[in-house]
Amino acid sequence: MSPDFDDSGWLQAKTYTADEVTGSPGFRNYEDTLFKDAAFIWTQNLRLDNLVACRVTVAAPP
Amino acid sequence: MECPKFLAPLARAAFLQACASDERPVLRIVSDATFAPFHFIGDGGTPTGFDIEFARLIAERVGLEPTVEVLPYGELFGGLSAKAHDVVAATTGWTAERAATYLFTEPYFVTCQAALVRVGPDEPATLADLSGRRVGASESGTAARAMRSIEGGTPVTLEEGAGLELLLTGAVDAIIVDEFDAVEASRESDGQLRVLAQPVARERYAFVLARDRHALKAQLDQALATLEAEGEVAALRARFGVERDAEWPVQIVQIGSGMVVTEGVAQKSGPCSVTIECPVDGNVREALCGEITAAGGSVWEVPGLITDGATLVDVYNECSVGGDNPDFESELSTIVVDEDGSEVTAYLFGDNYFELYANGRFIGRDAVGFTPFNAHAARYRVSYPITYAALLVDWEGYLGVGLEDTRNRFHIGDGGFIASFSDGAKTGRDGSVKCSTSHPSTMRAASRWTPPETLTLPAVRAATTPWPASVRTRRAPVAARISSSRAIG
Repeated sequence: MSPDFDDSGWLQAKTYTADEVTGSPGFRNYEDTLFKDAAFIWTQNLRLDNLVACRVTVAAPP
Repeated sequence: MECPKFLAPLARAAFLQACASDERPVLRIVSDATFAPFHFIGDGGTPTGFDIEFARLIAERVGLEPTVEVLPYGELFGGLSAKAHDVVAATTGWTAERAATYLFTEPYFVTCQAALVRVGPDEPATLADLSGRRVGASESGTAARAMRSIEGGTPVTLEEGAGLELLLTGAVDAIIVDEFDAVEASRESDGQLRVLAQPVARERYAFVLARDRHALKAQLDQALATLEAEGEVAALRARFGVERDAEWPVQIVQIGSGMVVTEGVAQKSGPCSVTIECPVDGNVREALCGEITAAGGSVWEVPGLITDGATLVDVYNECSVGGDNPDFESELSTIVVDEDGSEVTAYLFGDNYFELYANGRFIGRDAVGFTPFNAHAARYRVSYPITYAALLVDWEGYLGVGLEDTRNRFHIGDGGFIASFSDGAKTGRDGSVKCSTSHPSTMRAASRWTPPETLTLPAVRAATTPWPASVRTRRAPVAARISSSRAIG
């Protein structure tokens, strides 16, 4: 990790519903268990942006 | 404060800012207003045009009061660094040289320099036919660079405004001009002139900011995307006539309200390491990787630079375990990132592909690059604060243009990533995740697209394609951006 990495130009990830992203059983079978209360994320454009880097810091267990 | 409409130029910039600051912060827009319909002086002496009105809309959207000042072209950019104004709205094309000095917003218009030729059986029909011919362009701007990029062509520098006559009289065999000018000249030529379909050099217009205005750029980019999604940009295009009609001869294709540019299809180097053997029928798509050589000579991989590292434990994988993997918990082993850290288990699903990093350490990657869709789990020991990084890929069937090949159609597809962690962290939970893209699809505002008949698109997995070989990176340097995103991982 580069602590001084400057992500000030990066935008907040946008959240998307499961219906917008996938009907795959790989997700749907675990939607209410492993992935409960999580949301799909991507950039502002789910369709156009094909290579995406995301980062987040978890300060302490939420 | 009383705000006079006319001021001496030297006093104007400062005064406009002070004048408007009684109400709300201003966005000081400048333009040379010399290129209708993008920027020009309208009725009553008011600067207007697609660029200027778009900049005004963006300002309003981010809560700033737009002011517009007209300056000579030579004074537009120096004023950014001196903080005399905020944004240049003057059909500025992105170039690596300019990007080293200034900050560009996302492009708002894609255009090109096109070749205008005579009609006739012995006249050029393709760019390749210009080899050995006399090709003219004016010395200023991007036309001259485009002229010199034509392989085998004999460049002829033209006086401003002289090109059309020289072309019609046979003194030159082609002239390189802005595509809108080329099409207009062709249509007014009574069938004597035509425009070659293949663009000579593409150009992406963007607003320009001072190099250190990252926060403002982020605001403007977000507004730009929102206005496009809402149809406001399409309305502006219609208002100023910067649309391409159905008979447009140049292969920069406009679809709906948006723009499409073919950056070029990559040379397909073959399956990536994330292509797996899959015994099942169904939605199995091979994950191809390829290379594009950008205009500046840099080579970058599409759809992305993939780590050849360990794949994660399958939670769901139709190919390896036939679907659900009831034994995934017992298959997890702990990757030690920080010896004294806490143990965390992650559950991950990527449409189509992800790599996960924690505190600088590669944790693992998706086993399936493209499809069928699958889910993974990972376990690792790591210390708080944990900085996660994820590289995400929406895979492409037609590498370089961002399209998928679903059922032999050209489909824009979509991405998406979701993750949940045993310590309670989850994607989307608190809005703290930040993302950036370095390879957007070259398609815009299209959900499905059938290519024009004039293009012969390759079959999937063809070794090469007939699309234009010359490409331009959308945002440069792409390789560097990818490298830097890895550095955070």
